Amino acid sequence: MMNRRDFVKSAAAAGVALLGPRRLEGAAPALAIARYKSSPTAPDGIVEEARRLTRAGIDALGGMGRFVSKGQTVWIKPNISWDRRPEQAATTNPDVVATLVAMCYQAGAKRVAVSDNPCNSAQRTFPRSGIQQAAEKAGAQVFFMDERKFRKMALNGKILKEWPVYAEVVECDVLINVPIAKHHSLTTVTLGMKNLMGAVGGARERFHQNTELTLPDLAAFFKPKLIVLDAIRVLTGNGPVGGSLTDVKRKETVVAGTDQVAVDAYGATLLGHKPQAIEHIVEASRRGLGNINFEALSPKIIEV
Amino acid sequence: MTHHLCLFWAALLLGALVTTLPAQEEESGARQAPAQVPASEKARLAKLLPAPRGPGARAEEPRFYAADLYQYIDGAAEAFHMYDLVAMVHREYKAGDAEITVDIYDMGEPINAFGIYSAERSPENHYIQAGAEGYIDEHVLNFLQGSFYVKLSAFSDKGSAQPAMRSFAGEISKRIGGAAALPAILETFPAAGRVARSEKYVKRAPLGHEFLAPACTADYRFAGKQSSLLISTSADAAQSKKKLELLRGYFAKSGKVADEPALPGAWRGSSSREGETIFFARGRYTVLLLNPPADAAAFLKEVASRMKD
Repeated sequence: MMNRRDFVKSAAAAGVALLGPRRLEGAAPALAIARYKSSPTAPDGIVEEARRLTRAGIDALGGMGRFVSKGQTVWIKPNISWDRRPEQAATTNPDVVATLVAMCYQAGAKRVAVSDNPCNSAQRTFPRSGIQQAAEKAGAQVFFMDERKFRKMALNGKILKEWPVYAEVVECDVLINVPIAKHHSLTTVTLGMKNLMGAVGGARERFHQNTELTLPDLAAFFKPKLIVLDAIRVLTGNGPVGGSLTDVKRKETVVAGTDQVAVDAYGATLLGHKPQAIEHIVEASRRGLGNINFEALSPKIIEV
Repeated sequence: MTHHLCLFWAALLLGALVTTLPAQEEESGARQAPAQVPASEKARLAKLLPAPRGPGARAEEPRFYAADLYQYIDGAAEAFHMYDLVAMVHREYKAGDAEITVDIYDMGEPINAFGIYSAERSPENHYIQAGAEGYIDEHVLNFLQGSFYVKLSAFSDKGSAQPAMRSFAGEISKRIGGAAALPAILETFPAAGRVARSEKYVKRAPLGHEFLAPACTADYRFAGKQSSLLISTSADAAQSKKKLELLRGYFAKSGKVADEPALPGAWRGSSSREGETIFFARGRYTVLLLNPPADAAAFLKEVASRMKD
């Protein structure tokens, strides 16, 4: 039986099919790029930057009310995979996450969950990243994934036919994918589609053998309603683990969008790559999961 | 330009990495890390771990990884396997106000340890005397010694974690023992004009050509011009000559190639991918200089004179 989330997804897909990739006059934008004019160094300044950029990006898309309705459950999926502090740019900026939590509640969400299936120990990554504290302070339910709650689901992908997925992620009404832009030693870049690996379990090393196909399989299955890419600090080398501050560069940008391919495509450019050179982005575009030519979406650029 | 050269080498390293994923390891002949870490290797690695010391100090049980390294560092594991990782040990410590993670990778041979170390380091790192070479910043200290690549990560809520990392590094270095020196092949690279800490060991498909493996590379700056020197090592002179012929064939097919008049026995090729390149063979070495400067012949003669057969 189709649940509310599936119905909304289908209706949205039908709407996009009718509208096509170009934004019609008056239609809500699919991509917003918020840039900060300065580069604060003080901790309070960086917190303020994250809050303002995140709000600006979502407001440019029409506000959180476009994505979250009263009484809905929301799953925010940041990158909490590594035992790293925010300044090391291996995990999502905690204040981007906290701002999204607050905006969801302001839009009327009944419950906002924040979690990830990390590579390092969750007992370390959740507090070290700052996300646990920031998200909880904003009212989110932050928890470690329970191994027993992974369920084998039919992904029906080109490579991934069946795979253990964290059940709550697909049972929620709204999925917001919140990656951080990073170099990746295997896939060149890790952005939104790669971030979805944190919503599944099982032998995830299997993904590494055909990431150009497995990542689009994930993207096709989850189809997040909203993607918010943290590019305030980006990891330019030794990803995905990082560690050295030498590999961190400030890009002072938050990208928000409904087109996960377009968000990844733009994110690739922030890391110095042409999206057409990133195999999983090309494949996802080829499958119709979004638009690799993000310029065609007429993104809204906001200078904050 | 430095940024573009870095992207160039990063892209080629990535290309080499992608060609050696587990599904293709057998074709490339790479040694597979054992599925389980043998007891003897566990004992060997465990001996390198410092004991927790100081008031309130404690450490978790060490964990060992080999073929399953992905469980700890996800896709980053592939780079270690490309350099023939034998096994690694991971341990978490609490020492005073600092929390320290110790990761010691046994890469089997010093050149492999240098390979993965050089792939991760950057000329911009802050270098210190640790092992054969190391660098430190706010939360990490990585160093190379013998066949081992040691990576420390530390956090402290009260002051800097660097003193704790330095102390641990010193202890581990003592336990590893032996001579702390960089691979001898690096002495073939002339010092003048060399970009410090740009030297790398590429085990698979240097410049995208598997036949050039393995090779060492380094970046140079000559009067504002950026060049790259690649020295491929062979088992003997015959194999080195074969590589030379393959290179000639590659440039003839993809661009153009002709005698290099300034350097008898050398060739000058050009292609859209490598750009302008001078290459030659000497003994068991095949040498390429990408984007050569005007007086490349003198430089390459010096390279040849430094080669030890």
